[in-house]
Amino acid sequence: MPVKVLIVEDHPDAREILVFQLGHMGYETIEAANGQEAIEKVLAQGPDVVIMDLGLPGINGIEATVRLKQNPKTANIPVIAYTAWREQSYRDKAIEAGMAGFLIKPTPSKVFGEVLQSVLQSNPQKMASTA
Amino acid sequence: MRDLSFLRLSLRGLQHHMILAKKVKTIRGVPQIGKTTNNHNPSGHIEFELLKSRFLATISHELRTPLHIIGGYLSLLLDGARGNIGEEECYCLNKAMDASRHMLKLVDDLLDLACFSAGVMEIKREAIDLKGFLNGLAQKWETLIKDHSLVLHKRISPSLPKIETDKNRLEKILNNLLDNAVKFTPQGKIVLSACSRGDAVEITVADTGIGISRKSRQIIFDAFRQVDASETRPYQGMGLGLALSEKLVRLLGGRIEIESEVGKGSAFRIILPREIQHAGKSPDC
Repeated sequence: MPVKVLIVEDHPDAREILVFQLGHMGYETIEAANGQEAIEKVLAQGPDVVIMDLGLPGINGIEATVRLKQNPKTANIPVIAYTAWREQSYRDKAIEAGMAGFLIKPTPSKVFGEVLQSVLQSNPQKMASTA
Repeated sequence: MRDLSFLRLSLRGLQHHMILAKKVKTIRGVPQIGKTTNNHNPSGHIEFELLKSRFLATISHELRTPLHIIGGYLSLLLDGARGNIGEEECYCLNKAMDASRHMLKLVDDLLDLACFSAGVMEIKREAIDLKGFLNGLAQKWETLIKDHSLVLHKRISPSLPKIETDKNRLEKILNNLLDNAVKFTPQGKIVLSACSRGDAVEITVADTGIGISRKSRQIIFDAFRQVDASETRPYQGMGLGLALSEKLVRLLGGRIEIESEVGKGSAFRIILPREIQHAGKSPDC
């Protein structure tokens, strides 16, 4: 069974890049374009890991993560932030929300794959990230 | 403010936001935000600082997003995720990718400088194993310069202490200095050295490059200035690397010194406290 990754990204091109990129790496992908859709897809399709943009229409990535972590059914699914917001304050918010990793766009495929692997094999206390 | 047309632009934007903020506050019945830069209204001051910070973060995000898309599709092709590509296509795509990365760095540098100007630069303090950090950096640069007529030597003291500083900022400073050394050293050697010095650590990037005259040393830390700014200048660039590095070093509570001789080479020495006691305030550019 391939690992199932939910890609939460409102920019259609950025989402498509991730679908192709992760598909090439052997992952099965499902997609959501905003926080509300992300929560619904996590509940309905139970991905192994979520890659979450932070700036999303409606419910943003931080809030969506908080809600996923509050629900015992979804709390253990790791969420990795993938964002163009490079400021430390966003990293702090991501940690606080319970995200397992923080990647800044653009992250090279190789690094992306390594972080995904590390999160899946997981040490939830250690936050994987790019500088 | 000196000769920073970009910053003038961004500050115009900030002024625009400040005007908007004034209007918002007036509507809410608190018409004092115009005086928020003094201490009469600390909450208004905090709000204005937040506004500046958000403005710059938004600009950064908006400029980085299209570059991320360009780089993302190029990566897909280069990684073979959309099918095999030939050597010629690979060559062209790599060139496009290099230019895209370069553009991203320029955007990041400009925005960092604008953040300094606005006084909203963030510092993240963490304990770092300086010896391991510098060895890792040297290894990365050995790979990066393998196609140049250069060698990188490292002289890193085995007794370097752990220091508490902002790792990402320190990496950016050293990357800028190393990048500069490579750029202005057509052939020869670059030396990365580090040792303890009382309560501080000293990290030096030295090269055997073209060197800098005494007169030119007065302007090398100015943003948007290069020693040779003529239309026929042999070295391209916006003149941001050293300016940013000097400001970042000050932000980390340290200072930067330079020794140089024209035709012989240059040495940039950073002296950093083992712990950031009083981080330098973002300078006013």
